[in-house]
Parts: sequence; structure tokens; C-alpha cells
Amino acid sequence: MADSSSEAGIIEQLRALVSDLSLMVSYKWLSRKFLISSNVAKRLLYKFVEKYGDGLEVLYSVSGWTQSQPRSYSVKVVKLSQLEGAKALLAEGSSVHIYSIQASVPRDPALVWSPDNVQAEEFFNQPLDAVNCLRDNRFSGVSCSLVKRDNKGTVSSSAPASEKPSLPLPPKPALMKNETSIAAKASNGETRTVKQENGEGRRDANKRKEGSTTAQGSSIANLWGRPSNNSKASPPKNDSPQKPLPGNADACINALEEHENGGSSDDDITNFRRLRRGGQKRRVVLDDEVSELKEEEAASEEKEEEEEEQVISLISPEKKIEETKHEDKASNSNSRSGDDKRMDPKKKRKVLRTRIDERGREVTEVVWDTEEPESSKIEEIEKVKAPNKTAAPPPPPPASKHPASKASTSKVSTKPSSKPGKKAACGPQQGSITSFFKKK
Amino acid sequence: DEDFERRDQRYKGQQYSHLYYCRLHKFREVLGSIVQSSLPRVPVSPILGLKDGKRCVVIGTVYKQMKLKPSILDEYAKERTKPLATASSFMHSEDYLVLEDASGRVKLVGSMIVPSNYVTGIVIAAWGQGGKDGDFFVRQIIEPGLPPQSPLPSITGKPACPYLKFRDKYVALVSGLRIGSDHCNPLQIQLLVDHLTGHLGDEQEQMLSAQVVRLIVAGNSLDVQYNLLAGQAISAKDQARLTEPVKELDIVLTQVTAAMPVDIMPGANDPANFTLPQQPLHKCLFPGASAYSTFLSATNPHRFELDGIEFLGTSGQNVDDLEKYSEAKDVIELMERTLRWRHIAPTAPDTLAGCFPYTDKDPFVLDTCPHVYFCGNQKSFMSRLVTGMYIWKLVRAISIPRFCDSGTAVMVTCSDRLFVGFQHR
Repeated sequence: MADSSSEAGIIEQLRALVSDLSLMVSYKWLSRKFLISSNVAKRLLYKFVEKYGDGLEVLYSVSGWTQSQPRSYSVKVVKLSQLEGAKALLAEGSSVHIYSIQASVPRDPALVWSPDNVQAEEFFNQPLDAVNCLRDNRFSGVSCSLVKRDNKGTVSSSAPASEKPSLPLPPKPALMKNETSIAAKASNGETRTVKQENGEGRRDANKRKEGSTTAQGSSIANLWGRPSNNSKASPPKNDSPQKPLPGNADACINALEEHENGGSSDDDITNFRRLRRGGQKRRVVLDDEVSELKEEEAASEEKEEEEEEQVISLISPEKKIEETKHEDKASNSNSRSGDDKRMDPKKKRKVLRTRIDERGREVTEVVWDTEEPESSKIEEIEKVKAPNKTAAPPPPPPASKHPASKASTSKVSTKPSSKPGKKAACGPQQGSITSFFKKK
Repeated sequence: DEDFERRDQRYKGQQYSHLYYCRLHKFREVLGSIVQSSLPRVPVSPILGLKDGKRCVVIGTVYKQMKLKPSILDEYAKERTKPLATASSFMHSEDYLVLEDASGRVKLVGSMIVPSNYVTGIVIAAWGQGGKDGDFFVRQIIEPGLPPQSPLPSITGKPACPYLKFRDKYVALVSGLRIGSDHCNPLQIQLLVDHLTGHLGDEQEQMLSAQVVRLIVAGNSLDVQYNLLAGQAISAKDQARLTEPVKELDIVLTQVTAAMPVDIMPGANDPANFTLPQQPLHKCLFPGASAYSTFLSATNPHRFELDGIEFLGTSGQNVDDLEKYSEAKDVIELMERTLRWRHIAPTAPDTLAGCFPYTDKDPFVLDTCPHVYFCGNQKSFMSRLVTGMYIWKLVRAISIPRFCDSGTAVMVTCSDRLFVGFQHR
């Protein structure tokens, strides 16, 4: 209970608020502003109206049981003129109290509510840890002991850890870590959602993992073994989500990734697309992992993958994808963390070139198009036409199978593949997955 | 609520036949026993085994052949002879019923049958005889009737605290808040919240608020502006317009969950899935309110129990659909019929658009009878005590009016299922 001096102080402040600023003060607003219970606020308002009520319009709240059948409980907010009429409709024992005071009553009832709402929003927007009067209803006349509030309040990164319990643990913690680490790096909300979506992508990837690996035998153990090793080896890595992926991917896989990321070397790529593709890429790689791997090529191409991972690690859209291959070659798979942050000033672009190779297959190659023409790495992507070659990546995620729609967002379209139809191997023409949605 | 949660069900391209089969199977047992007790010497025969003139009972699913029922095939018909039907009712005088069981179909004729009282999807037993034209002349329709009900906990047995008089507990039901729509009055909602949380009124009134132990929000709490979701990229301003109502609803819910347990059910216009049973609204929509232990996001239909009293209710889609395809005095009668048919949403896969094709069960079949049965988003508040064949089965059926139109919420006492309407200006 506020004592009389503080009450007087509040009344004075009220006077200033209402007359000078012509605010609308409701009892609830008053109680939350001056941290008094709502019943006390009502009394204060009553006193205020008695003292300084001239020139002010008062809204009263009339509540009670109706007299007419069927008996119902009614709450009304009325002006002084309607007060008696409203009271007459109610049975004995109805209560009247001041709802709000203002210089003039607005016509729209929503305006009576809006100052309260603004105040409520302020309280609501406070950090989730803070317990304020909105959140614990402390100024009401009724208390409930059942209510328990969880103050953690992290909503976005609620990647369900309870999902897919059959998934082996090692990849998962790494994933979570990467999610949060990306969040740490992210500077805007967009990336946050991206992170979530990336998490989705990864979760999908996990699902696929789950589905596809159940049929396999001991190779699965190896699959899981390697990612876990890698992820454990790279705890300081806090960027690319590709990190936990084993470096023992196939040549084609690496090329695949590179293509996907090579396409992203354009200026106008956004965070979203890159990280999203990261998720997409993960899916692809996992699929490929399930199919037989080629270890020799994998080892040599490991460094390519590091390159791409660097690509993924770039958050800022302005920066181009670069690095020195030499540095890559020098660095080991153990020290991936070092590679990722490095940015090479030299500009390079990946270019797709199609040619017919000796076996008569149409081969689309990715060539680094820089000051060092074509002596640099060339990865081959084989078409699905050669079914006996299992290294060929099986169908990449659906978004990548739309070369037609990539025209608008093609990153590198200097030499588009001559085959207009489905390319089982992803080329840079595919652009990003979002272009598919944008077209809609 | 566990029956209504999707859990591990996955859509693998299955059809609705499993759902119907489960329904028929379940009711065949129920109806079989009822028929045996009421018509002991009459055999139950499969439809294909019907003989001319022989009296028997057939049990099957009703299919109502409706002339005005919109069908996708009409678009391909060469002549558009179908008379235009209003969107509200598809009844026609020439509708007839067909009974279908596992073996075959037969048309039901007779003066006892009033097709307007029945809908497609209910399972009934018909006592009559096979007619000459392959029709079945019906003498009596036997419905499953109200399901078994657990007895109400007796109030006198409750050990009352010596200091407090035993007071009724109330459950507040509200639906159709429609935050975000043009004609929603936020002041009304705020008054409701203030009352429920105990701010409004003097001490006496606040005692009344203290008696409210739970709030159920039965659907249509949000009004999503669908025209913004036209498939193009949404600008930031539009995004704000889309998310503002959700935020407002969250603030409202936060205020109430800080005071009492709240269950929120999805409705037809809410951002939840479309097919029934609707899954709970995701708690990421309510970052503020979901932090409370008193917050519960429930399915639609929602079943819960409080103090031994069973509540069951929907957000209104089932009853609205029944209204379109059958005739009844009022909404309560439709609800009563669903109780007698022991099925909350009999038109579910047929016309009540969107029902998940379950393969192993039909979740809308009522095994036990609730004590309070409510239905949200109706035009007006109505309530009645529905009795079964035996007097001691009592159900309080309540139709909750839309709050945005009427400003009325409903409070149900738990002691003797009286009701109280709540009016806000």
C-alpha cells in the first residue's frame, strides 16, 4: 500500500502527465508505471479526479451481473453520461471504478487501448530473462501459484535435439555447435533465420542420412567415425557448416561442392544463398558418402574442399571467394581452421567448360579462370549417363535440377552446358536454391 | 489430446479408405451389441445378402447423395445443368441416403428416413426389409447413441478447507478473437484479459476472477492476411503487417498465462495445418507466452480433464460443415447429433475438407462421452443439457460465440455445469 506522501507525489505527477502532455491514463497504465497494485491505482485515480477532475473526461468501468435473464456477467466501459444507465442494467453489487482519465475521449475504442498496449509492448520486448510486471502479473488482485516461467527464452536455436534419436551422436553436437557459431558471426537477423534454415537443411540431411544409411553395413560405422573425428579435430572452427563433413569425399563430391560454390563467386551472392547452399551441399555430400567413395581421389581433393569451405565461411556478401591454392596445399587437413579465415586478394572465377572426352562422354569441367589459366585445378564432373561409374553424384537436391530457372541468377554462365536437360552433376548454372523460389 | 496429435503418422500416399474402414469396423461392434439387445431376433445381414421381403438389420456407413453438392467433376460435364447452390447450404429435396457396408450398397427408402437429418460418413444400423427394386425399406434407424460416460465426481466428497467456503471453479471459453482483423476491438479483448487476470473491478469482482481456473481459446485467434502471401517476396512492411497480429496475440496470452493456465487451440483461420485434427500451434509463434508452464498449445479437437470433468471441444469446423449438409434447429442440435453418432466430425474426409488419412484408427470416434462439449466460432451463445437414452448421461453442450462479433466469452462452472455468459462492451 502506498503511503499518503507517495500517493500525493504520484497524483502530482499524474496531473502533469494528463494536463501538460494530454496523455490518456488508465488505471493499469498507472499501476505499471508507478509500480503499484491496480486496486491502489484505481483509488489514486479516484482521488485525482476528486481533486483535479475538472476539464477531464473520465471513463468508468462498470461490471456486475445483469438483471435480465439469462444472467450473465457484464463488463462495460462507459462515459459519465452513460454511467447511470449502465448501472441500472446490472443487479445489486455491481462495481464501478475509474477506468481511465484523459483530456478527451477518443471515438475509436482502440485508441483507449493503445497507450496500454504501447506500455505492454515495452514490457514485452524486454529481454526474456527480465521478469517484469507484465510477465508475472504482480499488480493484479489475484495470484496463481501454478505459474512458473522459464527464463531462458531461447527460441530460435531450438533445433530439436530430441528429434531423430536414432542418429548417432557425433555429427549432431558438431551441427549444433556450428549453428550457434554461425549465429555468433551473423550480424543481422536475416542470417539468423538463415541459420535456422541451415539447421533445417542439415536436419534434412540428417534425415537422409538416417534413411539411406540404415541399409548399409559396416561402412556406416566408418562414415560416422570419420565425421566425428573431423568435427572433434576442429573445435576452434567456427564458420563453415561443412566442417564436420569428412574430407574423404569423392572427387566428384568435391567437385560438386566446388561447383556449387564456384557458382557463388559472384558479387551479388547473399549470405542466405551461400549458407543455404551450404546446407544443400551437405545433403549432396552425404548422399555421395553413402554411395561408394573413392578414397584416393578424395585425399587429393581434400584441399579443394577446403577451398570451398572457405567459400562457405564468408559471411559478408561483398567479399569474393578467394584463397591461394598454394596455401591450401601447404596446409593440412588437420589445420583446417587456419585456412578458412584466410582471404585471398587474388580474384578467381570458376568457369564451366564442356567437352567430349576420350570415352565419348560429355564432360563438364570447372576451370579456375584467373591469371593462371587452366593450369590450376580442373575437376571433372561426369554425367549420369555413365551409370557404371558410381562415383557420379546421384541426383542432387531438387532445386539444383532446374537449369532453366537459373538463367536469372546464374553466377557463371560463360559456357553453359550444351545439354539443356537435367544435369545430374550440378553446374554453376543452377545458381542457388533461392532462385527457384524467386521465380515463383 | 494424444489421440489427436499426429505423432508418427506419415503420409505415404494412402487414401481415405482405411479411415472409413476403421470407422465401420469400430461401429459395427458397437451397433452389433445394441442391435442384439434391442432387436434380439432380427439378424444382421450384409447388404449383398439382402433378400426381398426379409426383415433384417444392416449396418453400414451412410452416404448421402446430394444433388447440389459441389463436385470437381462438374467442371468437366458437357452441360452445366447443375442448379446453383448457395455457399451456405447444399440441401435439396431430392437427396437420398445410401447405406454402404463392406459388401455393397443399398439405397434407403421409407418415410422414417429424413435425409436432411443425416450426413455422409456416419455409421448406423437400419432395421427394415429389402425392397423390390434393390432398395431397403427402413422401419427404424438405430444410432450408436451417447458413448459411455464416466461418472461426475461428487462435490460433497471434496474435503473443503475449513476456512474457505467451497467455491465453484470456472473454466473460461472464448473463441474467435481474430486479432489482426479490421473489426476486432482490442479494447474488448483487453477488458477480458483484465478481468481474467484480476485487475478489473473491485475486490468482490476480483474474487470472481479468482475462481476462473483455466482459459480455453477455441480457435480463430488470429486473422492472417492471406492476400499478402501471394507467392512473391514479401516486403519488410508487409512482413510487419503479417507478424503484428501474432505479436499482439502473444502479448495478450502472456498476460493471461501469467495468471492462469491457458489452452490455445488452432482454428480455421489460424496459422496451423489445415487438415483435421489440427496440430497445435507452434510455440515459436508465442515466444513470450510459451515460456510459462501454464501455457498449452492444444490440438483441435481438444480434450482435457479438469477435476474429474471431461471437456471436449472443437474450433467449429465440424459443426459448420454439418450445417451445410444437414438441417437442424440450431447448432446445439447438430452437436447433439454428433454425440449420438459418436463421431465428432462424420463428414471428415468427404466434405469437411482436410482430414488426415489415418491408416489405423479414426481419431474422431468418441469412445467416452465428455461432460462438457463445446464448439467455437459460432454465431451466438447457446447451451443445453443433452441427455442420452439413460438419464444419467448428461452432457453440457455449449456453442461459443465469436468474440470479435459478440464480445462474449463463456464460463462454465465445474460443479453442476451451469454456465455463465460473459458480456463485454
